[in-house]
Amino acid sequence: MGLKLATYAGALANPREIRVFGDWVAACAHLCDHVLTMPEAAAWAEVLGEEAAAVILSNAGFRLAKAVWAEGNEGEAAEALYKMYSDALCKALDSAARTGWHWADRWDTDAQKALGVSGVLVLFDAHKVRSAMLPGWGCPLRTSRAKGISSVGQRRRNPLPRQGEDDKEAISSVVTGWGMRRKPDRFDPKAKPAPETEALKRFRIFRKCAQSVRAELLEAYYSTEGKLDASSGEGLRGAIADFATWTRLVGEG
Amino acid sequence: MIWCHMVPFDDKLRCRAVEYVTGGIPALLSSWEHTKGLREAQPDLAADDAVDILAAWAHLQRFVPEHVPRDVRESISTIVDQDGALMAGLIGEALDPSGWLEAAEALENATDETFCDVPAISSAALELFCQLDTADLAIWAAERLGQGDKVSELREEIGRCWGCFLMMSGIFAPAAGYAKAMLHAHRPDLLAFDGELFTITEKYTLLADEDVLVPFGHEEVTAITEEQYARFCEVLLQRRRPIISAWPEVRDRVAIAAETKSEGGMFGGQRVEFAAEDGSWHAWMGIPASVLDANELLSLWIRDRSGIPIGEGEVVLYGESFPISDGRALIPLSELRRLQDMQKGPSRSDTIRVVRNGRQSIGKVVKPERKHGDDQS
Repeated sequence: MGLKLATYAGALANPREIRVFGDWVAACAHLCDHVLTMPEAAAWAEVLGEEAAAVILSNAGFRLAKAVWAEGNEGEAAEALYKMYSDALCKALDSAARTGWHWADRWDTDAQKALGVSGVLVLFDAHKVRSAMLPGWGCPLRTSRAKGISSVGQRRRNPLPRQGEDDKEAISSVVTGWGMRRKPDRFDPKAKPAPETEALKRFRIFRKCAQSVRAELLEAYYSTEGKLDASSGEGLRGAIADFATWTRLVGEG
Repeated sequence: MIWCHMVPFDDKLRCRAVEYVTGGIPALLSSWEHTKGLREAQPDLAADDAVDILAAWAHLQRFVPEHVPRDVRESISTIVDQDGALMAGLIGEALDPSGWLEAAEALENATDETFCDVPAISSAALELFCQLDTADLAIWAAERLGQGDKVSELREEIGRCWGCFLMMSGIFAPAAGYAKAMLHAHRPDLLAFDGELFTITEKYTLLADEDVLVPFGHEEVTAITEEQYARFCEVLLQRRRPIISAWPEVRDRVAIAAETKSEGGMFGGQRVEFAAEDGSWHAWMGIPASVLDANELLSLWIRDRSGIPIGEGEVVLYGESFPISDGRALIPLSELRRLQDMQKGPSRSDTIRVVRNGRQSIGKVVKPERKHGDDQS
């Protein structure tokens, strides 16, 4: 039967609803390359919540990645995680419509980018979501590894091409960043942090995503001699929402 | 509105650069209000905020004071005066210079011709440049607040990152636009204001120079001769001399890096070239000496007899076929059974097939062609 794709019909869908990825292969590739690949996976576990974290931050994540590419499965094994992922993407698009945090993509003018209050950045066009990520949390250098691993057959042999060989299966500690901010944390699935701590962790994810996007917009503003000015996320120019404002914006979603 | 259009681009750019820093401050301060009290239970959250606040405060010192909104300047100064010592004690928890060095090495490998994921390389270069600057600024702030003893070890470790930055600043070139935008906002009297802050800010100037210094696109990196590379290093070191002399530990690092390069670290790889028997195409690939992770990709570049990239087709190498797109086929190392043999040197019996419009042509390994700038003797 295969993976059932979600659609988004909110304010940023133009002219009509858009599919959350073009087909099951694209949907599962993005799930594997972002949600199930460290260090970005650690941040997705926070954004998607407890149920998703139990899968993402355990051996079950790798088993799931293998299962979705299995012959005849066509991504069906990822149904539950895809549902949480696509819900998060649709919420990000809705919140971007409210805050005005959406702009034309620098590399492809047919596409737009939208930043949600969760920190999720969605790249989409008039028909479909093309990609979705937590900018600044994934290691961009790992994206090169997945280039050329595009066919289902190749994915079957290598379901998580962006994940390092050493951390493919057992995840006893979680690498929460990369470069200067690479810090491994012990992952305890039974630990229940206080709700305020959870909110602060999610706020940190949002803050870093927003600052990462702002650095790229500043770079683009300079490189295009201000030509991106009219459509480059004007709403993100000023102050990033503080904790109280962010909490309110999240509540509105 | 009319006034807006009349504002010179440089002034708009300066405003943008200042806004980039000041815009993040209210979010940081509001987070610290909570994470400060959680530093025992969640030290990672408090330490992250401490680094970012000290760095943002230090970053503001680079700007002309009148260009920074007074309320922002005062709000962060109040918190830094109050909690600066506590923050300085936390920053070692959040920074990992060895992780940065590993990532910089990975960026250098990715910038090699075997990879060409431009958006990913640009993001990584910008992120790593900002990470190094943030660490420098946080350490400078701690020292400025009289807390130097809490960051002395970290400062030494960051010196290693600086050595790496100086020797490989070309790999950060995709962040040059960001650096130039920021330079528009820096105070002109920074050296007189604070020599140490000036020194760590010099990396912006160095990066802004990169697009002038690097004469080759990364696609053609393997075509640079050793002689050209030596000239490039000479110019680079001339420009970096003042900064190297200010950081003795960096000078040592540079010496070690230069030795490593002269021992062949950079030139130990192979360039393998193929030519069609009927002369209809020419192809080449660079195989690095090290960096061999089965997940990595090699680029095989293919041009027709006029030197135009072959748009579409298929290449068959050692029995495996790979699609050609825009003059390039990406080949995962894991697919190459004879990689080890190729690394030892190309063999005359290595063949390659190119299929275009249903027609197939066979090519063989050839002696590498001379490239522009090679020794003509």
